[in-house]
Amino acid sequence: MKNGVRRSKADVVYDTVNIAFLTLLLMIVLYPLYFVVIASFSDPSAVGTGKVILFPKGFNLNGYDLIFKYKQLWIGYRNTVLYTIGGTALSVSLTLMTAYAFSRKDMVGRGFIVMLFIIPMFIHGGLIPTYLLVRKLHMIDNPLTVIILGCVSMWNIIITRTFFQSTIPQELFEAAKIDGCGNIGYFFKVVLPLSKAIIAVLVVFSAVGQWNSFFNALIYLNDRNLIPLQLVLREILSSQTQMMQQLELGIGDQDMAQKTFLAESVKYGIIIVSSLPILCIYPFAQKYFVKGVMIGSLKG
Amino acid sequence: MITINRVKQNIGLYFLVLPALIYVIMFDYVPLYGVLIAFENFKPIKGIWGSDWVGLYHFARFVHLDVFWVLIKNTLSLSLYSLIAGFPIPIILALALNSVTSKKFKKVVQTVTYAPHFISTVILVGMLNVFLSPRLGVVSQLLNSIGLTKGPLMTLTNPDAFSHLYVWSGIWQGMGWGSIIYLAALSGVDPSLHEAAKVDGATKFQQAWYIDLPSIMPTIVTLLILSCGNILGVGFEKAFLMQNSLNLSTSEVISTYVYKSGLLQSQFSFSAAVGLFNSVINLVLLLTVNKLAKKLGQNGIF
Amino acid sequence: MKSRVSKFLSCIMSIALIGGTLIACSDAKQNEGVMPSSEGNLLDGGITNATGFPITKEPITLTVGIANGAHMGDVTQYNLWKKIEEKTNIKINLKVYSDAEKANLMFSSRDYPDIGLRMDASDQAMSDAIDAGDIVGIDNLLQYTPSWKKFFDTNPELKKQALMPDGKLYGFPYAVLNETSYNLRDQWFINKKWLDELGLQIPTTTDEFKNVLMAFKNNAGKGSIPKNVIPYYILYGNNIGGQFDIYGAFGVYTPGSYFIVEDGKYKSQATNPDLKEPIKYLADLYKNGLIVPEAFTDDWGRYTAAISSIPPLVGSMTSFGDQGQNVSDGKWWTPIAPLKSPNGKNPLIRRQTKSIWPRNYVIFKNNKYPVASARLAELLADPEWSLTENFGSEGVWWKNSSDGKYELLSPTTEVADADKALGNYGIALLDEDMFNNKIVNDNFKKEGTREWAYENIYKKYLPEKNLNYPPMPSGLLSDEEKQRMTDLSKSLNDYIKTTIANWISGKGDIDAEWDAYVKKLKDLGLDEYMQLNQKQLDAASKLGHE
Repeated sequence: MKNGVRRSKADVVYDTVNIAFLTLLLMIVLYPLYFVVIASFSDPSAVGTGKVILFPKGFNLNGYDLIFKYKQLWIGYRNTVLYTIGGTALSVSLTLMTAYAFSRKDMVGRGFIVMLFIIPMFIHGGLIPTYLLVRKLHMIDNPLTVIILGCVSMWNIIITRTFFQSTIPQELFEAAKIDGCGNIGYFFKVVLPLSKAIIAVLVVFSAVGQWNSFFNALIYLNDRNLIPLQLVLREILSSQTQMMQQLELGIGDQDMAQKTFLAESVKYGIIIVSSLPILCIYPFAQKYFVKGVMIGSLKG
Repeated sequence: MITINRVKQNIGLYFLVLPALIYVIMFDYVPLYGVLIAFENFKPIKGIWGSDWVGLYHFARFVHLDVFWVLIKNTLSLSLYSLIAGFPIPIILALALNSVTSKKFKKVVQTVTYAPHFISTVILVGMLNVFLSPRLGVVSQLLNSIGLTKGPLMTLTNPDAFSHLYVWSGIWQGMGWGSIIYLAALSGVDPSLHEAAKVDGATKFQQAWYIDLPSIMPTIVTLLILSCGNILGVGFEKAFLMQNSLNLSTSEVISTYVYKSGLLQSQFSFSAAVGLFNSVINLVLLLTVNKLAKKLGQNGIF
Repeated sequence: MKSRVSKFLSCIMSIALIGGTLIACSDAKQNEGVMPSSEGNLLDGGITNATGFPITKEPITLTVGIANGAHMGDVTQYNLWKKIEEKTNIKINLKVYSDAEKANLMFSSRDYPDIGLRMDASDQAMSDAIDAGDIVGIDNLLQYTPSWKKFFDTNPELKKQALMPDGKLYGFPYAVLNETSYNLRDQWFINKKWLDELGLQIPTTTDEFKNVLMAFKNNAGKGSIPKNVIPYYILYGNNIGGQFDIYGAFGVYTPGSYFIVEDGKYKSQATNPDLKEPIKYLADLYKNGLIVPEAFTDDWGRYTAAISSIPPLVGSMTSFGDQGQNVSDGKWWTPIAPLKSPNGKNPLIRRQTKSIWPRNYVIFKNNKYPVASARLAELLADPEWSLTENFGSEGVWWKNSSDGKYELLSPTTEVADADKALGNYGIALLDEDMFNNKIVNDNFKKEGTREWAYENIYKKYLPEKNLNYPPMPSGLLSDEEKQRMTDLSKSLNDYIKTTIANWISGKGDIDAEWDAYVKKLKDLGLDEYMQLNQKQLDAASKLGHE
């Protein structure tokens, strides 16, 4: 059908400009990404002195060697995968439920409750009282802590609510009500099936957020068997700044500059090791950004 | 009476909110007493209830700093520039992607532009420094070889270039990520609108302008309001890493200042006070913009 | 299971302690332990022997907190802990604080281990804990630690660094006093191979130095000098590899900041007009392309990349470590003496401060075995234990040589975590006598090592008096004074750093702008800053005299 419609001249121009624009963007984004890859295989001093431009210089796997030699790495991977799955499931469910309720103008006291959620976006007690609270709840060294803390994101709730408001007509509920459908039933049976796109977005946001997070794990987990990947990688990297401090004080051993140097070569490899797996979830999520879902379900 | 009835009618909605509400009360409101730290000379050992109360001392300290206005100016100009330049680009990218017919091309562009989100700030700034290195950087070598410049490239040490570098590298990193939400919103556009427009002979540009853009307007407004609520929240890490002794006049922002003075000694109270100062201004801005949006006939965020 | 119960208990305990009610009572208990009890000579409530080994008559466990030094590997695997347990009956249960933030929170919640090695909590946290009585004073325990007692008695200057504002000692120190390490800041290197290729001599004056650098630049692309040569590399403003040794060449001593202490008086070098000359010299080098703009933009990572590039990219630079081993094909780098300037003043090289880490082993008040803990600190002060603590396992990092001395080894294969060293994350006592007379270090004889360079080149160029700001405890000034000092320090040092960077990079004229610069520093509160520092200095020098 679509191909049958002949493209007007204006459309040809539009398409050409569009494709050219996107191709240019693609190039601008691609080169630095490519650079990260070749830098991770190159001699760090060649990287630092501008010799690595199109191909790796001084090809070596020392950086990766150092990363993969680290015993904690695989434990970290396993933990991160578990935390990401758990955290995403929890966060996405809470976000959808809350956002849907907030999207309903007929909810009495909505303004007040929303305000209750918005204030903590700006004013919070800080780390110390939160730490004391978590400790009091005996949640130190409990993997659930890193899953639960931060599972409610008001930012996500607000954009999800906007999505509900602008895509799901209020009349649909009126219709469902006549069929004897309550709020909760309507939410699960009608709203959720219509919201695949926003669910996909939320999954991407939460999963990536959880995957990259380390602070809560740093503070609340002591057990080495529980720490996530980002914390492991942070340990590998932090040697650089630490050794710098050592050197500043002049108490470090003689070959510290050398070790520092190795840390420099690891930087690029770490990005690849840590982000490749999570990078892959977006293409899957894209499948759900399909047009016409709305219409199909309404008709059906 | 009517109210109670309406509550009863929609009782399910309250159940939906309940779990998140419990979380917010438990982990946001219970520790909220921590804001008191901003008003005292907090000592961890003495605890929040036991430390000496100093009232607005730390706020006064901040406002009376020699560099106070410089910090405000730098912070504001960075975030306004980021907002003005950075806000529309993910929208344009999403609209452009939306009108691409080749599914494969679309997917490739989408995935590639999203990838920089995973580059850590350290690496991003590291790459900026490597590429723009005055003599050895690829940009300097390129410009010199084609004769556009002679001698070292001084971008990194030029205080006027700092904001451009900061903002555009941020756009590079964030545009694909930022477009995700718009792409999802665009998928909600009723295809029959496009069909009808085609029959009326609308060009693709007109369709994007008159159908797609208005239909994602609620999302745009929501995100704009949220961004305005973060205007003093220029994060410290990137600005800190991009600082050098020659660009400090424009690169010192509130967060980097607080971070660095906190390094000299533990300044719980000072950083808490500055944080609260930022938050209050951000909150006021958010409320103002929200009200403005409502006046202009858009849905506010509450 | 047991650890969970004890965690739970200690949690309850510390919640109760926040009320502060138990502090007095635990103080009393602690004194009981220190005094010999009536039954035999056993201390710590009948567990600890006053002398001899094992330290405790039955096995005990002590929880020991330590920061995570990234270079240390898995610190829980160290042989050291096993050796301690065998010798003393004390089992060490390590608690690793992987981040300073975590250590600070530990202080906030007063959830202390029994012993704290280096934990990297803020100085403030430590001194607040001492104020609150959470850390046991060690003056009463020194009777069980003769080595440490002797150390403090014979090193009054170092003891001063360890005293808290109340004039008491609160921890055992990491005292590794290797003169070649602490007395010299950076070595100054020049590219000998390039000099030889160009037939040039090692420069001895600032003028000769400039000529050599010019020759490097003019011969870029010839021989082994690369096209994009960096004649003189500085990492502007940085303590290591910065421009400060050029100031020294003109006789102006700056330790890495612009403030010095001379005969107990706090002085500003930032407003010293003598600084104009070296800055003009640096500006001249910059104008001629001998210092490159990267000096102002590079970070530590790119500094190391540049100075250790193979083949070398740099003609001259300063660096703490040796560069000899960085380049395998022949000898590239040679250390040079500080350059003489036309003004005829004695050229100076920077030194560091002879110092200890004063509280790298503290005993918290919840520790039931203070005497046993002190005796453990004493054990670690023993030469062989200190060598193991500081360098690593015997047989891997050092060995007994036939004449009763200790020979340092450099292992060629990778060292297992078990054999690694705590270094300055723990405590050790290795004084100058050890390094000068008992530790055999081949490096002194090897040209190209820091030890050799120190002995043969730099020793005579060190300023006679130490002009660096001495280490001192926090808590000598009031909170308000400290906060004021922090704010002033930030704005003054930023202004100094930026202005001098502008002068060097040719964005300003030092002669025309000097007076305005000095006036601006005064306006920013230089005098007040100096007074506050002087006050702190005076308070520190009075410590231990009451």
